[in-house]
Amino acid sequence: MADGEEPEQEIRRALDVVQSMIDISADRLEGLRTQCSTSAELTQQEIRTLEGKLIKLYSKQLVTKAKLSVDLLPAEMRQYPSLQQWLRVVGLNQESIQMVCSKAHSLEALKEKSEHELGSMLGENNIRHEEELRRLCRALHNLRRYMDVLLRGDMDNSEMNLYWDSWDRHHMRTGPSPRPIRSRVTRSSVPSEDSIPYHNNNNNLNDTLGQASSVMSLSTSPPTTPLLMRQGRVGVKFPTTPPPGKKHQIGLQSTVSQPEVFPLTKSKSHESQLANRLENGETASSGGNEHQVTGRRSRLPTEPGSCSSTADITGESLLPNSNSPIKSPPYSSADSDDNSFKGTVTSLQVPKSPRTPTVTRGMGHIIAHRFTKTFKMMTTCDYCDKQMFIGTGLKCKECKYKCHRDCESKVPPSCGLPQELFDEFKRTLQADGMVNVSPILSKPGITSPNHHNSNLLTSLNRRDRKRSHPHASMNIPFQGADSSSNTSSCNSSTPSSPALLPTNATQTPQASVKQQFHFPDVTLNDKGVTLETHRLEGTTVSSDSERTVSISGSGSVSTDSERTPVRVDSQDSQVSDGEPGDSRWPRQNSLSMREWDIPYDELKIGEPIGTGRFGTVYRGNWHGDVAIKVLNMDYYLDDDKTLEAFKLEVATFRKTRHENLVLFMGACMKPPRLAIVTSMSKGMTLYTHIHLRKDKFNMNKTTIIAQQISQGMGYLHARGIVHKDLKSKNIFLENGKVVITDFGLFSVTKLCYGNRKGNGLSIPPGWLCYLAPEIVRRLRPQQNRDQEELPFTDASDVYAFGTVWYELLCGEWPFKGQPPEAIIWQVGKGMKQTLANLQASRDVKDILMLCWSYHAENRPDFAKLLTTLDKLPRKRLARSPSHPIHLSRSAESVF
Amino acid sequence: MSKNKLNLTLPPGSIEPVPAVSPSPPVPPLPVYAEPPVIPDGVMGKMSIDAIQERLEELEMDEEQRKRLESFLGQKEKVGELCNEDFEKLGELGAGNGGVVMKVRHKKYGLIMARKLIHLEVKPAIKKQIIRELKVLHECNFAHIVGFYGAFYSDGEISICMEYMDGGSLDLILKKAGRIPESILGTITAAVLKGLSYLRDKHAIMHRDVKPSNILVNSAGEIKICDFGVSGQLIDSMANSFVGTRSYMSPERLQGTHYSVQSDIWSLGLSLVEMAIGMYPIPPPDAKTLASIFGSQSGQSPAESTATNSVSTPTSQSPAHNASSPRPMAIFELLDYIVNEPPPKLPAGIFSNSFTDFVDRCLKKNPAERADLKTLMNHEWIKKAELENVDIAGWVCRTMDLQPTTPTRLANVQS
Repeated sequence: MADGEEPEQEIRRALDVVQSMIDISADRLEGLRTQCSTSAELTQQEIRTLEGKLIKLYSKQLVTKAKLSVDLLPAEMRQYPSLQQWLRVVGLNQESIQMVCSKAHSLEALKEKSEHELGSMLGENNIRHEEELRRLCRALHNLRRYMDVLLRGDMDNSEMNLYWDSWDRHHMRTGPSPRPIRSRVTRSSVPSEDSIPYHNNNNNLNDTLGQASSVMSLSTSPPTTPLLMRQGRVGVKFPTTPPPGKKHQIGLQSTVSQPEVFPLTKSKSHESQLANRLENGETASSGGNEHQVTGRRSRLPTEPGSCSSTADITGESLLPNSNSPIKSPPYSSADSDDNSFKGTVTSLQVPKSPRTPTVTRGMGHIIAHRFTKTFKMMTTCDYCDKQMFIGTGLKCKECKYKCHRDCESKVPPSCGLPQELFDEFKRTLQADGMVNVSPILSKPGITSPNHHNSNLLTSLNRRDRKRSHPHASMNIPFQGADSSSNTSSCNSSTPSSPALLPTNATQTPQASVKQQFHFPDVTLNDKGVTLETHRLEGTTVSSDSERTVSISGSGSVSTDSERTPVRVDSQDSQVSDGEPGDSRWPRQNSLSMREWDIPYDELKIGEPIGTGRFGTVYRGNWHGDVAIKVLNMDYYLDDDKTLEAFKLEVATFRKTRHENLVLFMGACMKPPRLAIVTSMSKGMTLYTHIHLRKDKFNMNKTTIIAQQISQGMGYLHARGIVHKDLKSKNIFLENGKVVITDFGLFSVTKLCYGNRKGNGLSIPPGWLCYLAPEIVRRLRPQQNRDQEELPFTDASDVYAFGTVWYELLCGEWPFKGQPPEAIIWQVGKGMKQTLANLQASRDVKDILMLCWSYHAENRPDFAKLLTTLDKLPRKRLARSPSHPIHLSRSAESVF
Repeated sequence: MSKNKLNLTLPPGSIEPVPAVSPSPPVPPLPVYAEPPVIPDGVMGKMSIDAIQERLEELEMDEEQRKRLESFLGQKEKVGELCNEDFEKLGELGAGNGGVVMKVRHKKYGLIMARKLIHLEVKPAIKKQIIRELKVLHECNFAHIVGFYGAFYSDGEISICMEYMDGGSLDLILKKAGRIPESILGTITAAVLKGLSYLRDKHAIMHRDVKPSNILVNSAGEIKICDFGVSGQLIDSMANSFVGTRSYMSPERLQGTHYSVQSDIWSLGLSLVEMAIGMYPIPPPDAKTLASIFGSQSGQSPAESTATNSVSTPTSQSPAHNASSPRPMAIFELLDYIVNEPPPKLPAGIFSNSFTDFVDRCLKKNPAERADLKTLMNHEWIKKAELENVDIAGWVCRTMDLQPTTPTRLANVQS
């Protein structure tokens, strides 16, 4: 019997696991849509990630479910996946959900509907009809697509764009006519996609916009634009006429597709579309090329955007103006891809300038930077990559490129251009061995010559991945190229836009020539770059593998590019390398996990530097100094659940990038070797300062520290991560900058029950006073593994923050000297450390009392704390908390 | 034959009467700490036997006890300073709060000792302070205090070397025996009270952690207390503390208010109830449980039984031998029970009235109403126990399967 039943059990279990992950992800998605500013790129990227993840989860669930006959399923599982939940996930409003639910009974049924049917299910009157229909169609399409992939068994290997951009846009534009574009066309890897009918027409403007904006590069002609850059998901529609407002567009036009790099398999569909659209010969001729869209913020782009190969559209621009002025502030683009809709940014498609010759290799931009002195920041020179001190640098008003005054002369006149373009360009050149002179180049000033080979685009895409280290990658490109890395928007097309012209005084044919010369030099860089990329991918430093990553990390721009076929390939290979074994881990996770998985063997483990509840921390080396926390496996060998929990938590760590949080670099996830690798925290912990060295912090410094902690914690909470173990031992002070470590590990390890005899709760010194009453009340002398976990929440983190605040003020822990039982009872009862002996202002004490509120709902959140802390009187102004200088200057203690 | 004279009296002057903490009539004035013993300069750590002997004279111990103590001190002097290399590990005796206790042999002299290892990662200065504080133990020489050989630091661990008590601690014995008979408990209690009085009177120390596992016995019938809070620094430096399924902490201590020796009395009372009924008495066992423990006895007078304030615990409480099984109670719940619910008491009809009364006096939630050491030492139940000639040695040996040894023989063997 065992034979028959075990697989079933396995399947049921898998269904359950997936369902719980769906629940979690759906909640987060909902939270992101409703509680975060959806115009922020980060949020959007986050949303896309989640969308992609959910698609995979649903696909997996459906596929898994299909393996079992319905009769075998417990009743509650038969309903998996819940149609209602799916519709909520898709982003329909309640009314629509009901409508759909009344007409369809299961997700399985729903996914077989045609777009038209879906449309009628949704009801035509709905104002949101178009958008909802778009979302639904896209989401369903993605679902089908991914299920296909799963069924074919080659899961994991495709990097597919599975999102559908379900945030609300305030500026939805009503596009003239939605032209359906196929979004996924680009992805060569997944041929099947194209086949799917639904897709085509669905893409609403929104999609296009969103994607387009980010991605769109200016590709050549707008008409062509319709290509969807994003791999499947983006269907860009292009309004027939390019929106006037576009500011940047980069036009990269490469006519030439380079097959070698990545064959664009799919191109056909594109082409055909393109053809329709524009007849520009070029485009069509280019065949495989797709448009790329460069996101505005090329800078950040973590992800490879993917536009597909490039298409170059030749640029005939229907609207000359369309190309907009490149100048859009590079970063501004950051807002969101979607914003493009708003018009401000939108740049999606830029028609090409008429001039642009079809295929050219030259990079014709010469756009001078407009440097001004900068006094404010301490930063890094974008050219030489060395540190710039205050007052020694220049910054381009337009593109924010920063460099030393000394470097000014060497900086390429690439204001506003993305580095990637630049790099690609170089590569191409090299590859071809030619210095190309595109006809265009010769007249840079006038028309914008934008021609990039498709390669450029592709390469860009690859790069994106790396993007996590924006500096490194960014810098490189600059040197040779003109493109300004900084500018977010890639306006390669710029040239066409009139606006640019004025700015670029420099543009002269000569200039262009110069540039060309430069390129060769760059080569080295390029190599370096590429290498980097690969490595990064492996390491996962930057972002999730999921496309989202790219998004979140950096500019939207890159997003599109992600999908480039090339990337896909690489991804695939990686995947295959990966652990074949962990099938039980949901696919999407494993995929993303892989990127964060660090082979244990690669770690050089040095001396132990501490022992925590969860294991031992070692100094180590892995591409630099790192801290390696080797989890104590005694507690969870053979415990799959815990292992999964660990992986899930690790998955969330990836998304933490904040000045006040330790950098999570990866993890070893193959039992029995479980380890977490983070950057090495320098400096001492607050614990060391306060309890061992007995350092006293004056009020200014205390406040600054508290603010930074609040910032880091606020960020964590915004990401849905509960620290669970915030305490002075987990807070480092590095030159006055707070770095919080060890978030989220507590539940993974549950090691507090580590008494060798197993007969008691082991309580580390000082731990209890960080625990909120609701947690203290739940402490048990013994914890069975399956028992409920302690109820850590955002609010319990706030309680712990209160204790840290107390430590900062008083130099000791609350309830000092009392035995653990006494603390448990008192805290559990709602008693607080008396503040009678604390000499501090009412405001300061109020913070304590609020944080220590017995009822979690009465505790402020970190955002509120920040404002409260901001209002505390300071003796002297300390504007930038993280800056050490300020600290040292700060007034003597206020007390 | 009696080990102790009846009607022990404290040496004049050793205790200064102090105003009663509270005016509760039944309780006699509460004695407070005596002045700390005056220790001649230079005696710290290595007191001369003579000096110690002189002081032993002052303590009420019978001849036999005195002899044993002298014999112990003789060995100790011979052994001198201890270090890690002196020892050979024989086995583990138990893991307690913050450390492991090993049974070890001193290689050179063949002495068996109990070595408690406490893992500490502290700065040298702290280590020294701890070792210094532990030296107080050298002065704690009394029939009912576990003998101390010395303390040292090695490899990140503080070692405290103590007299080895072959009968082990009462919690171990309790596990084996199920319950401890009232007569045995009487004798044990008398010894513990004397030990606590000694600490308070001679050293101004309160124990702070009275519980069955800190009361040791041996096959010679000796009863000694150990693990009292000598070093504040040690307590502060201990890596982790364990909170188990039982707490012997008094309500006033849990509440974070001022506490005193009276707190030890509560702990003693609670320990007595546990040892008498064979299970930790919070929350109190219901009638059914008691019936299963005591058979028909408790059934006889159900009305009077503890059931009055007992909570019927849903979880099956196992009878006596399960004394150690944890209840599914959150720690806070347990502690809150101690603070806010009626104190535990002995089931009626099973134990003598004097024992029941003794326990009741110990388990007053208000420390001021609680009997103090002196009162308890004069309590009827204790007097009775001292008059009886209870064969502790035989009981220990029977329970723990040990070969009986006479105290003298024990001393001889060791030397």
